[in-house]
Amino acid sequence: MRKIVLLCAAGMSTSLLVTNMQKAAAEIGYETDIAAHPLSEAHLYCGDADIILLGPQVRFELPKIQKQFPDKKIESIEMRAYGMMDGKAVIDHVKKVMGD
Amino acid sequence: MSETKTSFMDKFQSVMEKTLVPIGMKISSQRHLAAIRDGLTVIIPMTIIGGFACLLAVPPVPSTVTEPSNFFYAFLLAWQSWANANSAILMTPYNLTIGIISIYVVAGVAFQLAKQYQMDPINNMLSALFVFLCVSNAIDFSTSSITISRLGAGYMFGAMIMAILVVEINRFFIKKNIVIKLPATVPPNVAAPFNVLIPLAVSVIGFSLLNALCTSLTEDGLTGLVYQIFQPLMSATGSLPSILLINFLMTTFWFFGIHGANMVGVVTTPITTAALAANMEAYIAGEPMQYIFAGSVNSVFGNWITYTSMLIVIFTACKSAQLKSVAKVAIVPSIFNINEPSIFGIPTVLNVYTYVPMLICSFINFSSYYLLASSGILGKFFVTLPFTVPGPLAAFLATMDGKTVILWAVLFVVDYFILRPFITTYDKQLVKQESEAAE
Repeated sequence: MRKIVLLCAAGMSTSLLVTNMQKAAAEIGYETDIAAHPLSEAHLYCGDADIILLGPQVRFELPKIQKQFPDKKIESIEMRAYGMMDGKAVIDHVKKVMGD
Repeated sequence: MSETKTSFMDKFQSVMEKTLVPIGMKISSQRHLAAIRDGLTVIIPMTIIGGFACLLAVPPVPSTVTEPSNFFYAFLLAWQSWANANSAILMTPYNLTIGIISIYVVAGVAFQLAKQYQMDPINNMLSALFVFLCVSNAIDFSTSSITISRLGAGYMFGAMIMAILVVEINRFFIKKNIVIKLPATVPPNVAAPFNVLIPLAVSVIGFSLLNALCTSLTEDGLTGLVYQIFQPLMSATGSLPSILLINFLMTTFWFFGIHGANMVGVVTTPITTAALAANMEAYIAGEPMQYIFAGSVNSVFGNWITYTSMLIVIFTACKSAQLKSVAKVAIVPSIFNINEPSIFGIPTVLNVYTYVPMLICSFINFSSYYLLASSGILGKFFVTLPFTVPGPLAAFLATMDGKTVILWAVLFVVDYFILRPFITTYDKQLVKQESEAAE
């Protein structure tokens, strides 16, 4: 079971991607717990995450979040995949990063 | 011709990427500005409820409407008499939110700043609230009265400054280890409040003296003085050229795929929030509103229109598989002002074909509204709304003026025709690429 937390400015546009990621993960039987939150609430929700994904529009916050969670894997979502709300591409990327 | 154009754009792009983007990032992650932005963000729900309570209590009935000559007028007049009868109850949520907004501001900003410093947020928030009330000159115990207006929109800037100063003083004392030391056996929960005891005493005494001095000199106290200083800044930021510059920066940040509103917001949010609250105070008092640059006006009459219009161009005039498939994903979120699918899917990032018309559209959109609002033809923004309220509805609810919806619709069509030649050119390129890839 992988816990994936997506962060963007208000947690709105990433929440669109969450549903598509859940679908893509279910299709390949990859067990995940995926949620989207605003950046400002990162400290509340990222504590037990396996991987944190940032929307590309807030990718400049990556160093700040990395400092908050020095031991966690943090990635910014690839722009094209984000634009197309391509859940499969993002899940594939997560699997690669996590080595699953 | 086209080659010189691209090289100019390349140069522009690299200059911007080296200068503007890092500056923007630095400013938006500046601690105090970020604390103000985040502190104002947490009070949005309160201001939304306060705003709608105020709308209920003060219906937008034109002074010319006196007779229930048709169904709509009858409805308005019935609403007005109901509102008058229940005015005390209806106004309570407004009075206790926007009416005393400075209290929420000082608490919100102090909390967010303390959180950034990883200090105890509650202790800092309460300290800041206490010190702010000490210098607000709002409460007079000799007559058991509170001057509500001294906690209202005008003193918001004073509240922000006090929140920052009090937290900084606390931080300074804790860093220098000038705190009351309790034996190690005292549990940390008991010890934590004692950390702020000495700095809090210093803040209370220091700012109270300073406030007494200001009050004797200007009769308006410390928070009033801060307001006097910020007032010109607010008017200057609200002028048409500076709003157009702000919109230029927002569009340019988005061109690099960076959240433009978030970047520019650290500077604009305090100003637009204070302006919105001041407009609402004017609305209730029945006076003309002062500020055009208030609330979400430069998004509602900015590029939010353009993004949705761009998708209609794609649906009606484009052939490439890429644009058509993005548009299908993007259209519903776009109606609710979530445009990331378009931004990263079309994409508008690093795309000159979208950047140029979007700049033109944002200038035309906002200038049209600004000129009509400043000449008194259109209403000004005075109600806070969730940012996902669709454009035309947001324009109407925030201004209570139906004519703003007409302007929105006109601009939607204007944007369509500005965008169309640019987007179809881009589309032709994509079609060519797609057919080459298929071969």
